[in-house]
Amino acid sequence: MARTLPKKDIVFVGFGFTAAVIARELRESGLSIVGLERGRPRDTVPDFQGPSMHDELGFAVRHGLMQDVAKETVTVRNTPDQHALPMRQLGSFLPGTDLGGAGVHWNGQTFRFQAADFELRSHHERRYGRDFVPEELTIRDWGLTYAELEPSYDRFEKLLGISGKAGNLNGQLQPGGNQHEAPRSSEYPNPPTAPAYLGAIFAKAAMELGYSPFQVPSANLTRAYTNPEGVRLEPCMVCGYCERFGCEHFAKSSPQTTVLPALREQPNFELRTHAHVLRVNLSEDRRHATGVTYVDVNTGEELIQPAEIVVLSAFAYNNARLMLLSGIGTPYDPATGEGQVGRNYCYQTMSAVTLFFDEDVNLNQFMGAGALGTVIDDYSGDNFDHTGLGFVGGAYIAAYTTGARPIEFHPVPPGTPRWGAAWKQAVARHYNHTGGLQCHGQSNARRGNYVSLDPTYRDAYGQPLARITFDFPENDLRMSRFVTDRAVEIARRMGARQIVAAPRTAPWSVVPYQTTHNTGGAIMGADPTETAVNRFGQSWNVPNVFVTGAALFPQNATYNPTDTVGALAYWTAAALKDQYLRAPGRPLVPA
Amino acid sequence: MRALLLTVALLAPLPAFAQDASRGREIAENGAGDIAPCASCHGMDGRGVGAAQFPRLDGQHPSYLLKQLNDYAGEARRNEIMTPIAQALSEADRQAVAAWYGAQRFGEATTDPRPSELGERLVMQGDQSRGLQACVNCHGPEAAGLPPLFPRISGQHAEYAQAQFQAWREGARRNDVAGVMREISGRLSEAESAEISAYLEGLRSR
Repeated sequence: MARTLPKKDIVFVGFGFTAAVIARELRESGLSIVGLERGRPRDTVPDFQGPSMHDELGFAVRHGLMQDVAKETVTVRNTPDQHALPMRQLGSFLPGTDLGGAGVHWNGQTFRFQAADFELRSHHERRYGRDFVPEELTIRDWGLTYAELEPSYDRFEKLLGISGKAGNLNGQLQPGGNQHEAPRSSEYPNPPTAPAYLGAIFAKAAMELGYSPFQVPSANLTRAYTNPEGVRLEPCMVCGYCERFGCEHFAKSSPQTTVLPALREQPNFELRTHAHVLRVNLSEDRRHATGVTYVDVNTGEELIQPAEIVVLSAFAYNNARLMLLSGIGTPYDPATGEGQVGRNYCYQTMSAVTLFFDEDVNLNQFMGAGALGTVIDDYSGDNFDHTGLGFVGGAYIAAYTTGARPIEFHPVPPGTPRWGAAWKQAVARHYNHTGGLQCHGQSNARRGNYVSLDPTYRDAYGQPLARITFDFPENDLRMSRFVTDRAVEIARRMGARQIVAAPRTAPWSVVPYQTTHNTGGAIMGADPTETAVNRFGQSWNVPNVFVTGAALFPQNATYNPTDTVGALAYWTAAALKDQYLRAPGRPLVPA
Repeated sequence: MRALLLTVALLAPLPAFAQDASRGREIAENGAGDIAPCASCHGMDGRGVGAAQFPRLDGQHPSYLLKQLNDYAGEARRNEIMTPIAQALSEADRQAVAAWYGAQRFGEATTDPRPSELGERLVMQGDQSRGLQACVNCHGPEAAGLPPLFPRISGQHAEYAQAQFQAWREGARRNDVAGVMREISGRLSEAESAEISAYLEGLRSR
C-alpha cells in the first residue's frame, strides 16, 4: 500500500531545465515546491571532472549519462500497421537521465525559431495559397506568436549566457549576425565564438555564393559571465567534449551551471532524486489532479505525493506517456485523426555532406566545442521562396567543429576497406583533413506519426512503454534532397577534393544516431479537441496539470529545440504566476 | 587518454622547429648579441632555479614557449628580465630558442611530493561552491600539459608558479585563453595559490 506524504502546492515530474526555470520563477509565490527526479543528483564537482569526464568510450559510446534502456525504453515502428519492438540499445536519439536531464549532455546550439514557425499553417496559406501545404502533413499553428514569446527567449538566453551576435535588433538588421532571424529585443549577453578553421572556409565560400554566414549562438561561453540569477559561468576552453559529456569547466550552460545553485538556496523548494513517477492521480471525475504516485528507486517503496498543481516536465515523449498512463485527455487515433494526446510526434530531418580535403588543409577539429559552428540560415524554414519546389520547410547548413574525438571520428572515403592496414592508413590520411556540413532540417507532422502506449512491452515498474510510430514524410525527404544539394555546392566552393552527400532517406531507423530532438505528443494549440494543452501548456481536460518542453511543439522547426523549450518554460511560469494562481483550478483559455 | 595522445602526436612534428634547434642551442649556451645565455638562468636542460623564480622549461611544447617569448616581447606578458630579452631576439631566434627548450624532455622532479589536502583538492577537483575549475581540466591528466595552449604545470618550481598567480592577479600577465587564468587567480587567496603551487611542484607525472 502506497504511503501518502504531506501535501505540496506544486510538484514537478522530471527535473531538467524547464522544471528548474519554473521552480525558480515561483520563488516569491509562497507555494511549497517539490521536484521529483527519477535519476541521481549530480554536479560539476565531482561528477563532471577531468580527466575521467573525457572517457569517450564510457560516455559517448556506452552512453554513461543517458537513460538506461534495461529499465525503461520506448518501442518503435515506422507505420501503424507494423508491430513495434523495444529499442534495446540507444541509437537514433539519446535521452538523458539524472538531475539536469539532457541539459547536461547537450551541445549548446541555441537557436530561436522563426516567427513563421509559430503560425506554420496559416503562414503558408497566406503566402502560397490554401492548397500549397501537401495533404500528408498535419502541420498547425501554435496558438502562440513569436512576438508573445520573444521576452521569454530573451530571459532564457540571458540565463544561459548565450554567446552570439544579433542579426536583427528590433527590426534593424545588424552586420555579422543572422540576417534572417526574427527581431530580437536585445543583443546576446556574450560575444560570438571565434570561427574554427572549417567554419572560416565555409563562411568564405558561403559569402562568395551570396549567402549570409554567422556564428552559431552558443551555450559554450566565450567569457566569464554572471547571469541574472547571480550564478557564474566560466569561458569555454574548446576541449571538444560537449555532447554526450558534462562540462568540467563550468562553461556549458546547464541547469547545474545556471539555475540550480540559486534554486538550492530557495526556502520553498525541495528536490527529491531517485523518485520515479508512475502516474498523475486524478479525482473521480478526471477533471482535477490530486498529486502523483512515485517509487523511491532506492527502497522500492511506493509513495503518493499530493499536490495542488502537477507539472509534467519530463522528456518530450515521456510527458505524453505520463498523460496516457494517467488518463489525462483522449488518446490520439491515427485511423480517425481524432484525439488529443500523442499526436504530431516529430523529429528532425538531418542530413550531411562530408568533405575530404587535400593533406595541406589541416582542420585541427580536436579543438572544438559543441556549438562551435558557422552557419547559414538562407534555406531554413520559409526563409526562401518555395514556389514550385514541391515541399514546405527547410534546413540550416552548418560547419560544426565539435571535437573530432578519436573513437567516433574516423572518416574515410567510400570504397575504403572496413578494417585492416588499408583502413588504418586511410584514417591517418584523412583524420585531420576531413570536415562535414550538417543540414539541420525541419520535421513536419503527419497523420501516422504519433506516440501511444505499447500494448505488449512494459518497463521495470510494470507500466506500458511509450510506443513511437514515425517515418519521414515525403515532403521532408524532398526538402532534405534540395538543401543537401545546396550544401554540396558550398562544399565544392570550399575546395574539397572529394564530396560525399548523404541526404535523408526513409525509412527512419532507430540505429544510427541522428539527434535527440524528439518533439510533440502533448502539443499546444487553440483547438481543445485536437491539442493536449492550451497555449500556456495547461491541460484542456485537467486544468491543474501543466506540461513543458518539446512535447508542446505542434511540429519541429528547422532549429535545435532547447532555446524554444526554455522560452516556453518562462512563458508557462508567467502564466502560472500572473494568471493561474489568482484563480487556481481555472482554465486559462476557455475550452 | 587516447584523445590526448592523438592530439600530441598530431602537433609534435613541426618541421620549422626541428630546423631551429641547433641555432637555439647556440643562443641557450652563448647568448645572442648583448643577450645573456638562456642557460645562465634556465640551465641548458631547462631546469631553472626555483629560489630565483626561474621556471623549468623542460617538458613544455615549443609552440607554448614561442608564444610566451612573443608575448614577453609585446604587451601581454610583462617581466623585468624577460621582456628586454624577448624584444632583443629576432623572431627567428625566438623560434630557435623555443625549439631547443621544447626538445628537452621533462627531467626528474626537483622536490619530494608535498602532501596538501587543499592543494590536491583544488588541482584535481576544483571547488563546486565557488564554481572554480580544477587545474587538471585544462592542464591535462596529472597536470602534465595539454599542448599547444596549456603548459605542463606539474613539477614546476613553486616559487615561479606562485609568482605567476600574482602576475595574473595584478595584470602583469594577461596572455591567457579567454582570461581564464586571471579569473581563477583572482578568486584564489594567496594561501590557496601557495598550496596549489607547492602541491604541483611535488606532483609526479609520467
